[in-house]
Amino acid sequence: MLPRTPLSAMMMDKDVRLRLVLPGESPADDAALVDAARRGSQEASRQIYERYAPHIERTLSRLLGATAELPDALQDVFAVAFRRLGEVHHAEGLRPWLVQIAVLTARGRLRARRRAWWLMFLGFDESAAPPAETSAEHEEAVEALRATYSVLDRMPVDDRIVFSMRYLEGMELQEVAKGCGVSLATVKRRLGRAETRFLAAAQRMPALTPWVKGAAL
Amino acid sequence: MNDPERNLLALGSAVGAALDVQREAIRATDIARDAMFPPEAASARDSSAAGTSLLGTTRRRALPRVLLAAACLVLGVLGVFLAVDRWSGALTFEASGVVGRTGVWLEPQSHLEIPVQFSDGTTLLLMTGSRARVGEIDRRGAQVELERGRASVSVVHKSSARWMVKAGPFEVVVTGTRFDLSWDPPSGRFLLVMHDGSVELRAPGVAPRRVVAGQVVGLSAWTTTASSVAAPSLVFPIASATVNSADSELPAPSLSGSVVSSSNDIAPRSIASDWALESRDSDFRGLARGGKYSEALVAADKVGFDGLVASGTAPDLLLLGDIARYNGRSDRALQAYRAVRSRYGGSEEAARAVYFMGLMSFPASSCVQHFEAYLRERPGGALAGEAMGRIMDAYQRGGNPAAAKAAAVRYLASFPAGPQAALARSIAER
Repeated sequence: MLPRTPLSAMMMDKDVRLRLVLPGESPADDAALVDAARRGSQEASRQIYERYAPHIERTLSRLLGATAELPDALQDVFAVAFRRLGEVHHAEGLRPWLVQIAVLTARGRLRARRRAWWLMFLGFDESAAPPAETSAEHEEAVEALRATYSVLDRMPVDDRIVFSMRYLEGMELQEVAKGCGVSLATVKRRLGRAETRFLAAAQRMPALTPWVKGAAL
Repeated sequence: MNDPERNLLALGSAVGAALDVQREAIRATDIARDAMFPPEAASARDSSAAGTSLLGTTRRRALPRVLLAAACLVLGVLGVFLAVDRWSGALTFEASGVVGRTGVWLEPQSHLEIPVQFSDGTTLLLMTGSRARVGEIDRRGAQVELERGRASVSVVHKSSARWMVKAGPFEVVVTGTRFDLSWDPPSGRFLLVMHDGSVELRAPGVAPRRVVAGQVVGLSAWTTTASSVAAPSLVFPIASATVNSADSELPAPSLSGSVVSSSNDIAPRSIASDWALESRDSDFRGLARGGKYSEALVAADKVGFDGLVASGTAPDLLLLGDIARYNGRSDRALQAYRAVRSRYGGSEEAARAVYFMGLMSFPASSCVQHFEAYLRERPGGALAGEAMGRIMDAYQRGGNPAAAKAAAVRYLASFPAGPQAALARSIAER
């Protein structure tokens, strides 16, 4: 892990008098950061990144899986966000807005994956993540992880996103709807389809069967 | 919360935890931060610098993908070229529809011929009693060895094509043409009948010769005793050749005097006078096309009517049949037409041949089977109306009114305004 710039290192922007704050502080702090970033403060942008990148990375990982393209996807999300900061009218909306961009980014990448399936035959499967060190107690979960994404990989992208946000990220349906930019009814419809498909596929996968039958609880 | 939902949330929680472990290994946040906020950019706080950095990083990261895509494209194109090159590498061939192998002798059984089809479209028809094999083969062509007998060859023209047909001591080098070749080891007779294009004819001891369409070259070689030539050799010495050249384009080969006799066992064979070199103008085809059927028959006889029939292509055979028919030589006409039927069955020429055989039938009533054969083979052919009309006429003349009426009805159904329509109506209304 690369050393992170300590957030406590308060820096005063040359043009914008800005008090830097720790993540989780009040929306008013987000508003100040957004305002400073809009005015071109790179330090403000950096602080926004530091505040929300872990959450967005986590969301992206749920949507895309443990893939080596996570850094690129994360960078894409924030590149888009910083370019379009002017669209944020309420500071409290920054986080869901970033999630929305993350969903769109993941959606684009998932679709690109399907278009570029043939690259795998040429050995260009850049989505493969580096092997992670796992302990014995995690092996069962890792198997479930692999099986889950093998099912998700065969699912329609929009259904997959809704399923991932609801069950892997644990979002409420309203939150999912907001993140996807669709109605609650649409989320319910997609989720219903995804559940049916996932449960049917899971019945045939030993790594998932105990989970969907509740035996692993 | 129902059970499936609870189960899925539990699964999601476990999967999420496993994901987080793997996510740590990827270090996405750190990598993306380093890309978006490089140390040297940290001090550049002006808005333009920050904007350029944030947007530019995406473009910089996108560049390798573009390069990767370009590389994939190049590799793909190369792959296609390599695949095409591989596929279009050495030619392949089929003999009688079976994948052929080089070096394997092809020997048609009695009354059968072996069509050899190469992958570039070149064809070779090996006649009954012949023996040949495909030797070396590559992407440009093949080397065919005609041990004995006759072959009709049609080589697809390509600038890079390189074909060779060996027949005893003779070699025919081809780039694209159509010709018939005959080689008889016991007699040492070699016959080359050119139909299209040109070839280079090589023989030991003489300079290569160019032979063009319309020319017929007959040569003879010295041989040992007939029993010793089961495997023809390229070292047969040329004894002499009879050359009648009426065309300055094709000078007489200076074969005489090139006798190479290495053994007292070798005896010269006389050259048949009908093995001659004919120019395009004196070719039976040209004469026939000019309406000079009598001269055409003489020309064909000069070359050897039987030999021409034995090695002729479908159009030539049809033409020979017509020449003989117009000269009242029904025996020869039938010989030529039957050759078309037996060797080129299914072709337009074969269908026409059976029609002409119907015209020559005697008694007239026996013509019906030939015309019916034509109609079966070419129901919409150019001669279909004529065939139907002649069938109707044959039945009428043969005293079979019922059959004649049926034939008339059939004719009217197909050709209500045909030249025989009036006759057909009169027969049909009886």
